[in-house]
Amino acid sequence: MSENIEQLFQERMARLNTTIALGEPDRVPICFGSETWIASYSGITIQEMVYDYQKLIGAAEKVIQDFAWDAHWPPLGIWPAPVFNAVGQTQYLMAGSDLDPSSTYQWPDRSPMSAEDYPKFIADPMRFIFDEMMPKRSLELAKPYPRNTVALAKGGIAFGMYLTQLGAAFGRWVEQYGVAPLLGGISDPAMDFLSDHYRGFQGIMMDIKRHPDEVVAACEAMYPLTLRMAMASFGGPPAPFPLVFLPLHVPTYLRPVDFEKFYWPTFSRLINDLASNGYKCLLFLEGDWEPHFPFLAQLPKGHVVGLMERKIVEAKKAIGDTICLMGGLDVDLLGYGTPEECVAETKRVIEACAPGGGFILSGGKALLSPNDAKPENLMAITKFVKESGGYDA
Amino acid sequence: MPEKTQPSQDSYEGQEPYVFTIPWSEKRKEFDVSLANEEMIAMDWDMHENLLFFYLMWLGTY
Amino acid sequence: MTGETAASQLAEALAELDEPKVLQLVDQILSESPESASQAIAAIQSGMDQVGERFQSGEYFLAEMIFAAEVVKGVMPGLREALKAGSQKTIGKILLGTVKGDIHDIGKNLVAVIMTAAGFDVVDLGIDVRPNSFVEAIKEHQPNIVGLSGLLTLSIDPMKETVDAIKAAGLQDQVKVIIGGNPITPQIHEMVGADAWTNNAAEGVAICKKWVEVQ
Repeated sequence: MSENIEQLFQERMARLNTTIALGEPDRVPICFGSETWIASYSGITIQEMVYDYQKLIGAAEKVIQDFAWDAHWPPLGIWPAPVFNAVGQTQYLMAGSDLDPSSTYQWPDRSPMSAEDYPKFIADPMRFIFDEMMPKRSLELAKPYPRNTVALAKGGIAFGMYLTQLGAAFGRWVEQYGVAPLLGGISDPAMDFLSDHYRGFQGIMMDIKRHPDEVVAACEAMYPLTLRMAMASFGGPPAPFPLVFLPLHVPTYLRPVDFEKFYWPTFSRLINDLASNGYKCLLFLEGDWEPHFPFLAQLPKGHVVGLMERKIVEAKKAIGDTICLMGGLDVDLLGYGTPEECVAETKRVIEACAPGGGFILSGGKALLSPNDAKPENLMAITKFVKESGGYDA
Repeated sequence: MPEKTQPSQDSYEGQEPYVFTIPWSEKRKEFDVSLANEEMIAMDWDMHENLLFFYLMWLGTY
Repeated sequence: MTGETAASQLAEALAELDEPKVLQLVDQILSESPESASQAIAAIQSGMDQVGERFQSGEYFLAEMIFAAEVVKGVMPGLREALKAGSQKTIGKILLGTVKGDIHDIGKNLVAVIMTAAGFDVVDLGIDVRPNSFVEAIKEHQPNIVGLSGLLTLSIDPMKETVDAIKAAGLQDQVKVIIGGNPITPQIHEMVGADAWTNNAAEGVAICKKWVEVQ
């Protein structure tokens, strides 16, 4: 690494680590969650990106070159289609085969696990997931030997290629651009696994009324797998950076009393266990979390970043001394507003959320589609933050 | 997993906890001779277990 | 116990989200005369209204709305069948669909059930519905209202295309258009050019009810 790049890297890491630990850095850090949006930005389709990992790397690299944010949002959320093709997955619709080649992922609401399966799931979730749910979700795995084994192996080879190529790119980007990935590792609280992937959203909404005890027991039983998933996916020894990514979906649909009963125990335990093992987390807090702020206030201070879709100014007041807040700019402004409007809103958000530190400027959610952000808006915002986002200004 | 068909039992009562791979300490029992440079074999055997878990959980989930 | 008392108990049971009691009362009412079935439907409407009110007041969250709608979805067909065909009055007709490119339908399905409970005749076009399909469906079904649903931001431009297609076909005076879904904001609504917007199912029903009262 050249001296200049080394210095840039150290500056960025200091800025981010200070901010995440709820301190005041030299200036407000900036990083947008550029997901499948990077395809249209670099002039390719999403389909191309999910089949050709070098094109995926190229698209993410163009974002780094053009915007030079303080970290890069790693393209690990843009999953390798060959793996899914190999195993015959059925859970979500993919660009080019089920959807337009330029369409981002879409997840129909599926229930590969029925309510009657709760006793088995609770008794041994890993057995249930690997033995019973996998062949339902990935149809090739239900075929007889050797077809299912070959499918699993083929998927594994493709998965390994994807991780290896991306990992090599991440290393190169540190050396070449002085920029680290914001995220490393992925998992979710147990109830989100149940809702997103096993029982489905409609299913879990009915289960909390019809089978409440089983939902609680299922989350308990699932818990060790959620912790191991975070640690196994991290790809290295425990470290406070990059952050373990936890996209939370269920909470804002639940009344606080139900959030406390069903979601909170295995969610708070995951955050606390990760913290005591030396990790920090980035939670995507989708929807309006204000009713649940009192719970977030109990999480370990300085160990959590909350990407807030809504109510970030209220969050600053209520939980800004516990959680590092990320966000502030709605995608409808980024996608449909003017650069002047975006800069004005950036200024307003910084004034409200930056004092005292613990704030990273970003969009309110990940950028998925071309209309989620106009490049000129992101440029204007980035320029403004780098010039005027200093804490001594 | 390759030889299994869809399980027909209604519960997992009486079954040992599920393992999808065995640690080296178990695998070692299959050899009744001393192994040269055993640490090398053991390290490689266990190294990929986390990646394998990640892959299988990811397939079973995403 | 007369049908009337069972019906008022039914409204409360639904409002309290007591599914076993709702099912028991509906069974009881269905074993009586068809007139009781129409009272039961009115009771379901009332119960659902109360659920909507509790949602608006912040006592119930979306989980409760979804649960109530699912319970209603389960009992409605049986109750309607118990009435003689054609003796049901509807307060209006609404065409619903998730727009082109978007395959999500949970929100739309929730609205469909609440609208049915509220007395609307609901025509559900499903997901990934092209603008032209909406136009053809308006001509075929002659609804009062068209509801466009979308979960992702990629639904915004198709919503505008659909509204434009309705105007291009000269149908804008015939129907009111309401757009709904997570990405909708006042600014997006202004750009799309519909008659109303919401990202709250209960509020959407209230808007539609007002429209058919006026018409």
